[in-house]
Amino acid sequence: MALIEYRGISKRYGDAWALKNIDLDIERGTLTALIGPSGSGKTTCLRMLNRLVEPDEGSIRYDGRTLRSFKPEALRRGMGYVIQNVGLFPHLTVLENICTVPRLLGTPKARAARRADELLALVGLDPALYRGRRPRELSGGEAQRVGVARALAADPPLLLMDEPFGAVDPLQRGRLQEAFLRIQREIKKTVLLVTHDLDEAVRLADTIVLMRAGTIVQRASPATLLAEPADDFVRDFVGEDRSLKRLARVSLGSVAATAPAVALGETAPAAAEGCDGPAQYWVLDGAGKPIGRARPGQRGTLSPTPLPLLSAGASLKEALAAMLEDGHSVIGVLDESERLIGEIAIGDIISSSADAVESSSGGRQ
Amino acid sequence: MGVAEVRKGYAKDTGPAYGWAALILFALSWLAPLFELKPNRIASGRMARLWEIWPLAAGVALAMAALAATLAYKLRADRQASTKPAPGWAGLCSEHRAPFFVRGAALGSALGLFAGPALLLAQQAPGPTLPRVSPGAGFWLLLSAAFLAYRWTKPARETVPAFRGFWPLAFSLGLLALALTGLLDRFSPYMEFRAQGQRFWAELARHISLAGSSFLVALLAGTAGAVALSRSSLLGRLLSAAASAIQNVPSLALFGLLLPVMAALADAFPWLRSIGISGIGAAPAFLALTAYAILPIMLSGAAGLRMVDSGAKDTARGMGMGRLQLLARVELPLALPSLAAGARTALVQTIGTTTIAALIGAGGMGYFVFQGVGQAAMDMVIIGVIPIALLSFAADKGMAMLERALSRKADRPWP
Repeated sequence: MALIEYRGISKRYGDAWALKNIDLDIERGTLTALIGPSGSGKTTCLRMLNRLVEPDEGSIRYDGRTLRSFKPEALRRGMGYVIQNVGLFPHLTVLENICTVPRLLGTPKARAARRADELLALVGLDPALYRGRRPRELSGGEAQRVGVARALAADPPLLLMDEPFGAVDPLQRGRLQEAFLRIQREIKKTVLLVTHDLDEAVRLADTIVLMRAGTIVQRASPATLLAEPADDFVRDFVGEDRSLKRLARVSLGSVAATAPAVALGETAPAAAEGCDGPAQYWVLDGAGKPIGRARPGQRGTLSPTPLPLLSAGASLKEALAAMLEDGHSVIGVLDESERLIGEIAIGDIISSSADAVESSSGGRQ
Repeated sequence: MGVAEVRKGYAKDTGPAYGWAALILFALSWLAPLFELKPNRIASGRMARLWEIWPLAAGVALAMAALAATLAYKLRADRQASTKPAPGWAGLCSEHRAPFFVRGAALGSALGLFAGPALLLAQQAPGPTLPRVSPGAGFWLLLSAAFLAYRWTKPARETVPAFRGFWPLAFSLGLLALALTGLLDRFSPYMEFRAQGQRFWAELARHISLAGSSFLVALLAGTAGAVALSRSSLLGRLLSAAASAIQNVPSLALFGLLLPVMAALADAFPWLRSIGISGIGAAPAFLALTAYAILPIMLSGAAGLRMVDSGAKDTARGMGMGRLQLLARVELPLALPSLAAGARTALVQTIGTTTIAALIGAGGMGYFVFQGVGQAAMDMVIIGVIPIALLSFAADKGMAMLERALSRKADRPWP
């Protein structure tokens, strides 16, 4: 049974329909992205779940119970809530901000503070450094991370996120998305995410719900949405570059090929006669971190220029962008401790894109 | 280094205006009569001028010289936009030293002024004694000149920590020493103060308690009104309209309007009379003062509440805060600086308006003011007015500090 079931939900503001007869299931442990142009009703849809907005018609069931049977305050304390402007309380420290819901629920201060430290570490902020800071002393990206930590503080089964990464620059957004994917893989929450950024939805979501003027146009997995738009509106929304968008879903870690490597000072083996050996070797230091490159038959030396490297969590789209940007044809893939775990070449990107098209058109038959 | 840095040593970048004003007032104080020697409180007597008290005259001359030198140096520095210490005599008045000279001379002149009556009487020729020395126009000119000179050269923040708060403290201690050594004994406002005895302290206590209690009640009512107003409820709009209307009624008229109302109330409910409520006295004064103080608190409190970040409010609700929790934990803490700003206005205003309450028998420092006016006894007016001014000043300073502390707490940049 789905965790959340919208049945025949309608909402009107004056003469305008915000939502028209919505039916929607959200499965446990999945990330559903609501996407659509502004005014399509996606935020209204989200805010109904924590009863900040009440539907005019229809009912929502949450965990088998109708939403109206919950007290709004109790319901909200059981759902994490992150919004675009973060909404951190400017008069409270990071620690006090994160502890808000646990303190509302009566969790002892010390335990709430310990939990806050864990969460800060989880979202990639050093607790000792950030615990006592004020929101004004945080960058946009840091504030968003604190916002996510605050939403997770009471360990709610459901997270509601309204354009959570909307207010930061594209570079930060990419990093936040990557961090969030890592966290989500770890904690497996049910997440309802509102976004107007298709790339974000494609990258993060298990299911994408595309909305338009208060109705659901298509509900599908990202691959299906990109491969088989339900109608012209979806096709337009997805855009011409949908194959490029599909790349955003594939993480480098999942497709990286084994990288040929030599130690510093070692000579890279020359290609055997008539055989296609690797075009280049990575030069690794003692810890397995890449520090240079060598052609076959050359000695491995330190690279004077920065190497083309991306983390395993980055997407194929980012890899392609990096290649086009700097003219590299091969990019090294790093694990979390920055050791080389593989490489990705431009050919790999093309073939994996072809695979994706094949597999989604295979699904149609 | 630019002009801005040169000016850093001076108060709030007032430019030379305060300096010129101080110099002019110092000069005028030579012309106007400094003191009046009188046989009693009301009768007129003989005028005494600044040069008759030669130590004071010498001090004032020195202060004017220091001031003029500083002005000259500052003009030169402004023109050349340099802080290079000037050689010789001008170097004595360099950026760092000159303000100290001016402040020292100002302090000396001010204290010397209060010792003036004793000095004057000591050199009085034998003859009919004129035992009362009243301040004349020159006295006030000289006092203002000294204060302006001090203000002008006082840095926004004293660079030498030991000097923080030194000047006001030195002046107060100096005055106290003058009083204790008997040098103030012939100064007529001080004589009046001693003659009033207990009455002075009783009226001062009444003034403070009346203003204080009205203010505290207005603070509570104003905060509640601010919440209602920020929700733009009907109640809020009614409150705001009522408070605005009250503000437009002159305070004396409001006291008058309350007279019959309170009298009728006391007649209708005798138990009210038994707890001291009647048409005149503290009760109507308290009501009127409270009504006056509500508006500034309510308006700026409501403005503060409206300024609270809507994202913070939305997440607070979305995280499961009830209305009261939202108010107590998010909205009010964030609106506190604005609320405190309104409270500051209200408190200063209340301390002043309380003076008028003496007219309907509520007592307070207004008693001396109105009695003094009635009897043409300026000394009595002065001992009523000076404490009010000092109280208002202290209240303003105290509330400003509170406001700043709250702003820091609410993490709002201090304007």
